[in-house]
Amino acid sequence: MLLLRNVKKDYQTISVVGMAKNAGKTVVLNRLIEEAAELNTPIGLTSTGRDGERIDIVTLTEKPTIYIYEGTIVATAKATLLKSEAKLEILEVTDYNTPLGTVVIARALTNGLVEIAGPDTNSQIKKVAEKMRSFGAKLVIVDGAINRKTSAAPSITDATILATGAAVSRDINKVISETQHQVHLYSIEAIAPQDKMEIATKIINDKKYATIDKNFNITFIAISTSLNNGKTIAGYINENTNYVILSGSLVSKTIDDIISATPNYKRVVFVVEDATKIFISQRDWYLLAKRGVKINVVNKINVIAVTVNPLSPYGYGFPPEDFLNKMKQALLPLPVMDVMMEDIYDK
Amino acid sequence: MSIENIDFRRVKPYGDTLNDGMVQLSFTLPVPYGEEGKEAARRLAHSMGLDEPNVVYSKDMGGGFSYYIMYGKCQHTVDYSSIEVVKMEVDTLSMEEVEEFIGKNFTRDIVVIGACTGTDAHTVGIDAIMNMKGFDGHYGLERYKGIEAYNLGSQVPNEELVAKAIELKADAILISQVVTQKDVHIPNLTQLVELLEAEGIRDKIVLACGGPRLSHELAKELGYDAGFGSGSYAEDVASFVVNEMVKRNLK
Ligand code: B12
Repeated sequence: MLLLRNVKKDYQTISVVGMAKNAGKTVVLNRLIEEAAELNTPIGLTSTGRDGERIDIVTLTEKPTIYIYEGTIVATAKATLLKSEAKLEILEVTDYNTPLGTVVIARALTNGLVEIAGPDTNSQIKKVAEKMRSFGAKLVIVDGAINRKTSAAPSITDATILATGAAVSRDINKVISETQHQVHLYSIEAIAPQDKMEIATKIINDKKYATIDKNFNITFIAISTSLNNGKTIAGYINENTNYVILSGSLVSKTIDDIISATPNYKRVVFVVEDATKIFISQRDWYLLAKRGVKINVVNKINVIAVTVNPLSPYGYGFPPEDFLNKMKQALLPLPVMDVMMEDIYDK
Repeated sequence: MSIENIDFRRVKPYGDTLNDGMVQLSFTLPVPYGEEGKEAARRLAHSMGLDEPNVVYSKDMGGGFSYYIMYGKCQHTVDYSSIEVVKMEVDTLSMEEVEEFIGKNFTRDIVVIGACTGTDAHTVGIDAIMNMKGFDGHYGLERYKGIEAYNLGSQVPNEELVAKAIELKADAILISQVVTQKDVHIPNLTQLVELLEAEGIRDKIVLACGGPRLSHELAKELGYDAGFGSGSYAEDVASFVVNEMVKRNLK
């Protein structure tokens, strides 16, 4: 199966994010590099963490290396740039600093191995992706670090591949249900009425908090975060409130505090920017849904595919076929593939 | 013995002759004190890669437990010449120099909050960095002129910490993580980064983590600006924070 087949032509950046460290992100990245090479698509590569180093610094186990082709553009920190075997031509030295040095944008003059460690923050990732595109990359791939997933935000990347695997838990059912929860979050519906969507987008872009009532009246809530402010937010919800627009994060406690302060929570839809702003566990999500809490987003995440890795670096694994099939069942109709095993079958 | 004789590609522990591999280690076994226990300790040490393992001291711990100190010869070598450790590029200033730097470069006080987060209850590390009296003869950040330091203590949930950071308009957040069993510190540390991104304030904050099993290199993957290991002092992190703020124009 081709991962890039699911990538629409108008997607300019895609992120690979993982449910855990060692979920197989680098293998997915390598796969995307190969596929892009076959399609003759010039790509740009960067990472919110670090990729291509031979030995994992936490588990001291071997990691897959990254082999790129001539013409590929990379954004990587000075220390990793110097270690790369592919010959690289420096295009721009950015102002972005990381613990591994300044991020440099470079073009590969030869095929070869590289190490990639890009900028640390989302806004820098976004700017670096734009720069790589201006240097000729048609598709920019952003690899996530460990289990950091906010680069999947539609404001940062156009589409996402979610990597999951045995590294998430020794319990196969837990891996499946946690992945399913993540996919559910990514599938949260966008706020439906177009006019309300426009208002909500404006409020969120302005980093404000507000309610919208059925007559389109907007009431701003004077807070700078929803964290610890559930009770205050509840005070703004009445019988006429339709939507509660929350910039920033949404955590379980905020909703819990709202629920305990007003019965009107059932009448409203809470709206956040996108699913990366939601920090609610699977269990809490289920309980909140049962109590009638409704959540929408302004920007829906485009999940292209979920990839599974049946092996964990901690020395255990799941039967590959069983794991893949169960995951497919749980995530229908989303494409699910086992990049590790496909690699082995190919050889 | 001269240093020229050392093969840095194959380094072994040193006891009293080069490459003798001598190692000392200690452990407790959940078995009664006695000859069988000593033999078990020897076999275990041998499986760990020690030649000629030797019990040099053992003691009854009571309740069916026993304690051993072993000597043995390590069979393995390490390639020292291939090791590269990522280090901070900033030179450490003294407390007075940091204060002077702040006076020169900022027109206001810098707000720094520190905490040991998640389920971790170890306060000594973050106290060493934050508290007035400091640690090991090095004053903590609370004593620094030009720094407004808030120590939130231990077992602080990430959400509380971020709420506090927003309320106090923090310039820097310092996180301590001491418990690293089963890698619990990793998802806890990354969740904080995700929450700061979600709140839209990651770019405005200098974010550092520290603890005996954290490194500057790991900090990159975690999404932190810096990582501080054991033996760090307040002035190390203070020097980093003030320099980083100037570099990133966070005045
Ligand atoms: C004291 C202690 C405790 C005390 C803590 C009291 C307190 N108020 O802090 C008590 C008894 C409560 C305790 C409990 C536990 N402990 Co305990 N504890 C220790 C002990 C003996 C000393 C830690 C210490 O204070 N060090 C001194 C400080 C100054 O050093 P430091 O933390 O490394 O900090 C320095 C640097 O790392 C750095 N730094 C640290 N944080 C930061 C942050 C920033 C921003 C910066 C810049 C720098 C920085 O700067 C500091 C100064 O140089 C260690 C063993 C040891 N000898 O290290 C075990 C140890 C840390 N504990 C351990 C464990 C397992 C536990 C328990 C889980 C035990 C249990 N089964 O219940 C519980 C955990 C409870 C919990 N929820 O967290 C393990 C951790 C193992 C691991 N790898 O995870 C250790 C290593 C013991 C062991 N060998 O097994 N513990």
